[in-house]
Amino acid sequence: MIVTNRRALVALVATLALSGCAKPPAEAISDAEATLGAAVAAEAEQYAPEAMNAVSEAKAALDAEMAAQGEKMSLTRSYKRAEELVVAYKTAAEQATTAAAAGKEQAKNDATALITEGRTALDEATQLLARAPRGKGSAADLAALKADLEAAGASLTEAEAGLAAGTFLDAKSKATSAKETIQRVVEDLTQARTGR
Amino acid sequence: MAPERHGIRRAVLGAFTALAALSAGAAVLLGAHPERREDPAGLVQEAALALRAARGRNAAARAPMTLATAQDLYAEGLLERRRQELRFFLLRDFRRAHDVFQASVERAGAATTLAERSARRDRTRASRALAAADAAVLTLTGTEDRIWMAQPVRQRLLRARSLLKEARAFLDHDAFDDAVARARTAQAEADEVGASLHAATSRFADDARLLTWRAWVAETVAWSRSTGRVAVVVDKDAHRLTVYQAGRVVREYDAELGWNNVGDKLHQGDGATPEGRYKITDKKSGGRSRYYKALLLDYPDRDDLRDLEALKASGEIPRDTRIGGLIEIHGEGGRGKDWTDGCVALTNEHIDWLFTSVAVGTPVTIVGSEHGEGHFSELARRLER
Repeated sequence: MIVTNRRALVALVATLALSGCAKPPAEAISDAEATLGAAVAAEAEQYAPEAMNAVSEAKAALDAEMAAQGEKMSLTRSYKRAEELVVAYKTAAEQATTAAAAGKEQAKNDATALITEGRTALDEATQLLARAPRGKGSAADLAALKADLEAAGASLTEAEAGLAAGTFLDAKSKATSAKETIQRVVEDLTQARTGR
Repeated sequence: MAPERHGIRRAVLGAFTALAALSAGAAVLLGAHPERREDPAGLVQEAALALRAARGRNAAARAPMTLATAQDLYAEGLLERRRQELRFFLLRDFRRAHDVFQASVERAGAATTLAERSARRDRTRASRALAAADAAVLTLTGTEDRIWMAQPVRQRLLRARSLLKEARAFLDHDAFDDAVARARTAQAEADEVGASLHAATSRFADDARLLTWRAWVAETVAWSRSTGRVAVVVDKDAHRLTVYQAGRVVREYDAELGWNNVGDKLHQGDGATPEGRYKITDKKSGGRSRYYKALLLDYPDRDDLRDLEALKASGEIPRDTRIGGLIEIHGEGGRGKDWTDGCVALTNEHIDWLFTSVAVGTPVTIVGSEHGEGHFSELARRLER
């Protein structure tokens, strides 16, 4: 009877000791944080804000779990759930990095396309302006349209500079504005041609 | 053996009693506060969504402190919730977690509101910059049709208008900083144009000059009155030619001027109509004038020659600059703009009447402005404000 009780006691102590050996997933956390660093470096906050929201939420859940376990007695701590959460955190950070790269590429492509379209439209509008009917009183209107095209050209140049500097959203915004201005000038010129 | 069994029975009974008491106590507690056991899963979602909304409104940049508080509360709520989850189920109490998540939702809402307000402020700032630029450009409305501008000034005005359109486009796309930058550049361009025009027109509203010009007109009218003869006064500001007979106004005609309508003629080719007291030296008709009929004036007079020499001496114009001549009052006018090279143009009908009413020697006084009432003086006053 005494032998049995002793064996039970040894088993209990061994279990507790083994439990006491549970270690936080420090390496996995540091790995996930490095992945988050990559997402931030990929400008995920700008180009993949939704994915970054998921990362924030995953990180908050992991932080809470780690803090909750940290408050417990060392022998009763368990990091099983933390290990699952850190995997989710890393996955979310990886997805954000991928989404950021895709978003950035999309913005770059959009800006490039808008600038190309804008340049083509600017050339066409300039030619249209050169062929515009010149009659009494039209000189001032044509000069104003020419100034509009010059301003649009300046915006396109700024958009190109933004594209070269990697500020794709800004480049998109400027190219969009320039394109709208050029379209308006083309409409005015077309109206003037058909109206006369 | 019997006492030992009795002891075990008592211990088991005691344990049951303690468990029953504990359960009863827990039941009483839970009965009194049912929300103690309610997991705040719904609030966790609500807080996460509120934080997403705040970030979506750019609260990270526009309301960073409030957003940080909301995020801290969210993290604290998660920790508190987890703490309770790790407790024995009868002892769990999620009330604090509820409160903390609720506070996080409220703070996130406040961050969203602040961010939206900040965006509205930026929009207002951009709108104001645009309105200021708009007003500066509006002040110059119509000036290019009425007042001669050098090509660079004209280009500047066009650029100001184009920049203003660009600023509006940026504002429509919520690109407030770009809108403000464009609007400010537009305003700066418009202000430069305004400054140029003010420099060119301010003399038309200058009291000292007005007194001088009025004195010239008064002398001319007095001469007409005293001699009973015809005298002519041209008011450049009002674009008006007035004919006096015996000191009384007998005719008033619209007059068109040199293309550099705000300038006082200084030299050949400047496109300005001279200001001074002249006389008619020749009457041209029957093919002797390119513009139907013409009354040649004795420009340049001694004052004009003196002014030109002073300019040459100061180095403002080259030494070989010529003063020009052939300033006339002629026909072919009525074009609705100032177009001559420095002459005064009337309609053929009006030059017909004038031609027969004046003689060689008739005085023609040309002033910048007699009453300070015309396009130039009005613009000068507008730009002064």
